[in-house]
Amino acid sequence: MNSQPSAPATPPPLLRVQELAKIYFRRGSLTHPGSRVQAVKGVSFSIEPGSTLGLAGSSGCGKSTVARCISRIERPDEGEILFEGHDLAALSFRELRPFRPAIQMVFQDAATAMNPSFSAAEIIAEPLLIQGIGTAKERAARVRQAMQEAGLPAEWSGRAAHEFSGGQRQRLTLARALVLKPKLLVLDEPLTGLDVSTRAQIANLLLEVQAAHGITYLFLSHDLFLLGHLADRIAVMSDGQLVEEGPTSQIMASPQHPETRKLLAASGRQLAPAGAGR
Amino acid sequence: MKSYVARRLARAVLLLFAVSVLCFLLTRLAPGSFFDEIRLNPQISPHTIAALQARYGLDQPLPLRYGRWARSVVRGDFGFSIAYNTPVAQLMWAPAEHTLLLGGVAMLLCWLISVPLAVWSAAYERSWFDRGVSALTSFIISIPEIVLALGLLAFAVRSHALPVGGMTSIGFDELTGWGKAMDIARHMLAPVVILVLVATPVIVRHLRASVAEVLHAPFVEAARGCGIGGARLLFRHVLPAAANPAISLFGLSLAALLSGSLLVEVVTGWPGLGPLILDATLARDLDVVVAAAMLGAAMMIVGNFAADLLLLAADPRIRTGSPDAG
Amino acid sequence: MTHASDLVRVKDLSVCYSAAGQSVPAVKHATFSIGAGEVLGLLGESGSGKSTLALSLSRMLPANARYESGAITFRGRNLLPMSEKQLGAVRGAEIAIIWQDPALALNPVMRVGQQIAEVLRAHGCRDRHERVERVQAVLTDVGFQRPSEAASAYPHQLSGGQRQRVGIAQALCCRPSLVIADEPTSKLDSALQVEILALLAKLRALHHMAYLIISHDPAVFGGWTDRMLVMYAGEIVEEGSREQVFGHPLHPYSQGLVRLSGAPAGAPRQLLPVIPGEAPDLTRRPAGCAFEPRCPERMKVCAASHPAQSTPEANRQVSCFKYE
Repeated sequence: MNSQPSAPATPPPLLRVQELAKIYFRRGSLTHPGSRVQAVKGVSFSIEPGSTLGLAGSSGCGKSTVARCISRIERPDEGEILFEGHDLAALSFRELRPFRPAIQMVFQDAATAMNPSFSAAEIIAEPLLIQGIGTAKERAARVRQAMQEAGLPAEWSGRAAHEFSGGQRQRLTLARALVLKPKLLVLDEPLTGLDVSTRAQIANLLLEVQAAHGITYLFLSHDLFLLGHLADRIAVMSDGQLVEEGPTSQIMASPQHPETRKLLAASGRQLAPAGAGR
Repeated sequence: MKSYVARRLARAVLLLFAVSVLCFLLTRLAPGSFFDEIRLNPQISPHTIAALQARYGLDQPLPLRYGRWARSVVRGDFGFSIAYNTPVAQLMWAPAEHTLLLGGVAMLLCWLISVPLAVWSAAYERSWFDRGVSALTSFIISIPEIVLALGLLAFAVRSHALPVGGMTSIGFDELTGWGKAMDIARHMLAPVVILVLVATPVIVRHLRASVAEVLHAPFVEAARGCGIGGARLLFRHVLPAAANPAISLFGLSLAALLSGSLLVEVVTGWPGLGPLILDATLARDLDVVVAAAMLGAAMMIVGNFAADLLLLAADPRIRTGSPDAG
Repeated sequence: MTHASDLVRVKDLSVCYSAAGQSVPAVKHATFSIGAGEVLGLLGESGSGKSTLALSLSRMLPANARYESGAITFRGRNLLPMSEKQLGAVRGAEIAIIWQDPALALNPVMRVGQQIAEVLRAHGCRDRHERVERVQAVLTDVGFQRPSEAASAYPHQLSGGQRQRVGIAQALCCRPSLVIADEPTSKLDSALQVEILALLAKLRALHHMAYLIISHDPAVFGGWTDRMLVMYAGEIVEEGSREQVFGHPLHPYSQGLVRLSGAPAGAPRQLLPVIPGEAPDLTRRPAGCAFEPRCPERMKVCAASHPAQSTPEANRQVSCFKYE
């Protein structure tokens, strides 16, 4: 008789990326030869359901490329993207369709991520229309719900996108991403370019939404200060490769890789009140 | 760079070949032939006509006729004009020069006027000057070229201000060098004015729009913040950044250098390619027509190529293959 | 708080924008001064009027801006009535601007070195060789290892950080006495931000020019900022030395911002201490304090009337009923 208690079953990771690689070709022009850029190489990580992985790195490190591969805006050249066991990298565009609602992306520049002349309701309803979900009435109800969750007043549903302020627009893109009830939200520097207090409000909103729905976040940022508040684990990228990964508290307390240290130093700018010089 | 030029050249040759085949086919397929009028003359026997046709190869199948024409191109004759009884190349030299002179002067004047007008118009946006220029260009654009030509002609004739018809007056050869130049200039005035009137408004409108857009760009404001202003700001900083649409138009100007003045030449009697081509078309002197079409195609290729090179020179973003090239 | 050595003195400045028939106040009754060689930080968020205030110093506001009242004195001369021609001599040579977005602030079809040379040319440097030399010198100053290579590059061939350095070089090439830096690091990622701020501090130590630094992020004002102004809804709500304003802020808004930036990275998933609500709509002018709807310490009087400036400590000013 087996008297050993079985280990508690841990849920499998929602997303597991293995040896991801992507190469970009730059077309030659009249005076310059074409070039080959290895944007991402050998990147592997996994995200537990309901948790947040912060992907940190300076601009050009390849984190955006990783995000685009995961949300299959682009196709990786090598590697596997296992979402709930299915390898997204191997699927064709058509085969991906059923997975689309589950993985949504929020972009950095809200102003260019949506059509400025569309109304808020149109923007938020669009994913529902594309996926062919619900009747017009059901869609309207879901739009209202999404707006409420994102902290936008319901009366603004008819307002055109260009009339929203920076922070409000970011709430709008978030509402649009949430309306399909995704399991994984990929956020590419969504708070960069916002005012400090707006940033804090939206960061809190993201935390609240995550707590309410159990969404998993892949959060890209160059700001370790922010990731320190939002992420459970942090992975640092540099020059297309993953250089360090670990729980947030560990990374923030004792960074190993020089790139991590550099990012931490850059973000840890405290207000030195006693005139500590730079 | 060399491979780029070689590729363009190869493409150009292929294009000219295709144009020649198309032209050749279409002109031969169109009804009527050179000898139709002569046929009507009862004094000339059908026997003579058949002999003439055989002599000029008009009775042979098309591919053979094309081959004969192509050989004549390689020889440098570009076909044979039945009406003038000379090789086409010899026939077209002088008129081509005259058209080039007319077109060249018109193009130069046109751009000399358009650029400052467009730039100052955009600089003083919505001022009386700008609105006046806008109204004037709209007005001129809406008048058909033939109406402009006839209108100016009527004015010239009635006011006896300008000589009309031809390139030179009687007694041209007795004039001094300067006198000759002035005589040609006076004859050229009417057709040049028409050509400039037709082309300038289009360039002004496009360039003005482009300059006005660039004037609102942040880097112009930044330059102003550094203390740069006035004409230097407009012509050294703004214009190069706004030049792309104008360069494309310049290419088109160049392309139309020989073919754009056809109507004007016919109406004002300037001895250029225009009247020659018109007569040849009406008389079904087909080799001349084909040669004219080829000339037009060649100029179009040259114009496009010139525009592409200018764009490369003017916009460094295109030169280095930047992702945000304009 | 004005001194005899003041470079810039702004008194009771009010600026409005006329848009769609309405007059929107952007800056209300601003009064402050910048001493020679002093670094003044202007902290405020979008809609606070900070950019308007800063750009008004060199009269770089758009055409629909109206100066409703006040005076701007630079080295004793009032800038407001000056003509464009007179201002052209001041801009670049005495007051220079470093812009927020380096990609947009540079001419895309002109070589970078030429763009700097143009500024020199506009301010009297006639000799071509001298211009080339000075361009190389200033590019070296801002950190380019190979200045001649950099000078012949076009903006799109440079990285974001390099472009910002060029912008700084362009601003500094004529040795102005006041440099206005409008959010100089917002478009850069954090590692670059540190570099650029360090560069600005180093240049200041070298040339002793005065700075007016504008930002929405308190962390930008490092140890080298002397004094701080905090703006909200077009008004200066607090003024003091950097240590005072960040060490113990007086105005509830400043307190909120400082609390936010100083929040330690504790356990993850902790909510940040936010200032609730949003920046006010400037077209609506409330009778009371503009911050009142979001203020955690609001009192009845705050909604009813507008607070006046008070001086609770030496060399400090604050506009809040708490201190009246």
